[in-house]
Amino acid sequence: MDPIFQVLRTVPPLAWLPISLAAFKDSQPSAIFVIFITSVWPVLINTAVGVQQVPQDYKNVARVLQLSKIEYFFSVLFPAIVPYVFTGLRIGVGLSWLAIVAAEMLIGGVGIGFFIWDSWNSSLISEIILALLYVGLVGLLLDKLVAFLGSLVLPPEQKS
Amino acid sequence: MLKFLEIDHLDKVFNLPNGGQYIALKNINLTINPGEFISLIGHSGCGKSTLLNLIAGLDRPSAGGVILEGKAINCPGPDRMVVFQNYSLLPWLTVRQNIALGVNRVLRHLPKGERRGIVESHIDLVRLRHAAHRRPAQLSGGMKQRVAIARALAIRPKVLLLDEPFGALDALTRGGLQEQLMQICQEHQVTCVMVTHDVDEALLLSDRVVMLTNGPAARIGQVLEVPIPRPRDRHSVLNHPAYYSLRNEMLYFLEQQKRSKKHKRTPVTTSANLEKVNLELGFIALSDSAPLLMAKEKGLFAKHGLDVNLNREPSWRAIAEGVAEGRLDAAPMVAGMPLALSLAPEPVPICTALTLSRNGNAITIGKQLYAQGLRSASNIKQFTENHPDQVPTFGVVHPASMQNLLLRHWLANSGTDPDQDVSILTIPPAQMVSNLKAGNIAGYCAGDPWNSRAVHEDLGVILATSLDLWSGHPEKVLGVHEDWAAQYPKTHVALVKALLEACAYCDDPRNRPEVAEILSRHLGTDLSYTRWGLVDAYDRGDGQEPEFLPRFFQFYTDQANCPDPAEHLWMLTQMARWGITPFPRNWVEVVDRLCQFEVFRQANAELNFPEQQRDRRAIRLFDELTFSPDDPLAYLHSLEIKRPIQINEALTTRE
Repeated sequence: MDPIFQVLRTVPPLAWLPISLAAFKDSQPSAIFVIFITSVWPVLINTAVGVQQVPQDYKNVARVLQLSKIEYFFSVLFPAIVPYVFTGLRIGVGLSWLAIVAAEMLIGGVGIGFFIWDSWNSSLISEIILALLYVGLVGLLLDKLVAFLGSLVLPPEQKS
Repeated sequence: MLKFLEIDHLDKVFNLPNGGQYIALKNINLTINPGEFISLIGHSGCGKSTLLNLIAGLDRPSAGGVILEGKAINCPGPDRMVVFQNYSLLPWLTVRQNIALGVNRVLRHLPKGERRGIVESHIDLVRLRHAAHRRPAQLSGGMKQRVAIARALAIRPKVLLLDEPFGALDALTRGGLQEQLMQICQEHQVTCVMVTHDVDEALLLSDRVVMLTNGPAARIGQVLEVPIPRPRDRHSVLNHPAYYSLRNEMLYFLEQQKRSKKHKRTPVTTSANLEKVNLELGFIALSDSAPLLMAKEKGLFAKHGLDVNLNREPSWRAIAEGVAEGRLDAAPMVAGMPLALSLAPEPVPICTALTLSRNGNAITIGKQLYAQGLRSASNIKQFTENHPDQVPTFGVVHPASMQNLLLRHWLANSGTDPDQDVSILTIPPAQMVSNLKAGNIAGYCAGDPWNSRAVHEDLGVILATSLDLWSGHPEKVLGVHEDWAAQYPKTHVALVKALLEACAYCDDPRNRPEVAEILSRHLGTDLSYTRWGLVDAYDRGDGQEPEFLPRFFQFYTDQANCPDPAEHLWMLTQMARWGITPFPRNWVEVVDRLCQFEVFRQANAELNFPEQQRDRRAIRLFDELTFSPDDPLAYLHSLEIKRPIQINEALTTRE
């Protein structure tokens, strides 16, 4: 894996917030950027792994049939990496949900993150607990949703 | 004629991660005819799949190449479609889509409707209509393989390559699929190359079975023709009279290979440190001892770190005993001697890594008999019929020598039985002329200078030379005890290097006068005798102009030095023919063990000499009979004059 990826990947989501605020000068696009930059790495890395893991047998078939680059991409490469992409997406969606909650706490004004922080400032511990449960359940639902989408796209034998 | 598919001197070397090299395949030669079904068989790891990948173009050969219809193969292509061992179907495509993928790509010049027709007809061909819409995961192993075959056939390849196609299937499915494949191949005249390790499968499907020896450096060990007529079905194949003998032959080959796997050769290393420096070598006073003498005179032994003492031996018997007892480290031997010693009742295993010379023999007959009309082999037959009281005696230098084998073959070819019509005596070469002079023998077959000397002293006439009998026949080989070779591998390589360099020196015409001079000094003969054939024109003494024979001695040119299993096999048949040794049933193993290719290859490579390799091919002598290294027994049985032939199993595995 490229070291540039390794460096960028390990930067914590919230560390991106100041620089995106400086760049976008607005809280809404900054929050979206933070979500994007957090969730893009697992998708990228898994896709790269998927490309590396295309079985030699499939490559040999493509070589013997002399498939063109475009045909190879659509007939062999893309279908072969779809499961890896979905694995990346599931991790990415979880991470982005983490980033949203944290970003909302800092930016303030809207969202479940702000709600938790506001409850803390108002000493409403029970509401915090309720919100945490809510955050956890939504995270689970998001994960299941992506898994479901994956199962719609992937043929049964390729499900991981 | 243009060959359809030709595998030409193909080598495959893999570079290992530790910097070493692994020679997977060495000198593979094979010609495949259109419509032929070839099976490659051999033990695991012998390189059969590698060979298939090379034909497919998925891998590049290190040397040599594969030629399909006159075009070299250097990349994969749909004209050589592969049926992979693990099917390699794309799991996200249905059966129909999998077949269509190739068709749409390869046959894209055809209209869409026609392509669809091809796909559908191939689905029917493998009887998968009911499963055409299913994905591979929903199919059984046999069905998947049928899809793979249909996918391969649908693009109309010139050659179908199958890599253990039925290896992963249960016996019942396999049987059914084999028959289907056979039918399809018969109907469509597809040329197939199949890798398998199933002997019955190979017999059922193939026209020829190519058996590979064990790696590293796997070669074609034997090619078996399957003469069972087509169309075949399992029943007719099983009931064919040749079936069991063919099957046994294949099993026997594999068994031999298994045994020789156990018999591990000591690996050759490249270090300059020799295990043994002081060597005692024996030689016989003959012109073709030149490489040995020149290596000594020109300091080639010293150059390669050896301190060699040359011992002039009185006879070939003394050489054999010397090497067997260990008194001599190595010696040039008459070509059949290593095998004769290895197969003797008390075997002395001898191996050889170098052929020192080729040709150099002649058949000489006494002047008096020549005057009486003994001028050819057929004259001898007439002579013995007219003079039943006289039995002409011929001298040869050793029973296992090429001289004996060639003389007998020459006599027998014209109907003279060399044991009944004439008698043959073993006489050391240096005593031939005096025996001829004394009238003890009518003639002899020996190496020069002893033929030239008889001519020169007006005692005899030369009836035939090596060039008339078998041009380029092996004459002297470097014989060492197998234990010695195992104990001193580096010394062995150094010795081969020194002698190989000397062989090259001796074959250079510029050096020949010097070689003749040194020979005459060592042999104690007149210089003009040793120059004869080596430098000067060769006088047969029959009144004709002396003829210049540049190849009368062949020390290096024409890949003279690499051990050649086929030639040794010919000698095996001849020695069995005359009752000198029994014929070993495990001849592949016996000959394989004799020829130490690795030592030769290493020595040749370290000298930076151009690579030498002998083609595995049929041998033809003057009599136009073809000796095929694949079927020595058929050759042996086809010879008319022979002694009762004993066939046994040579014991080759020792602990």
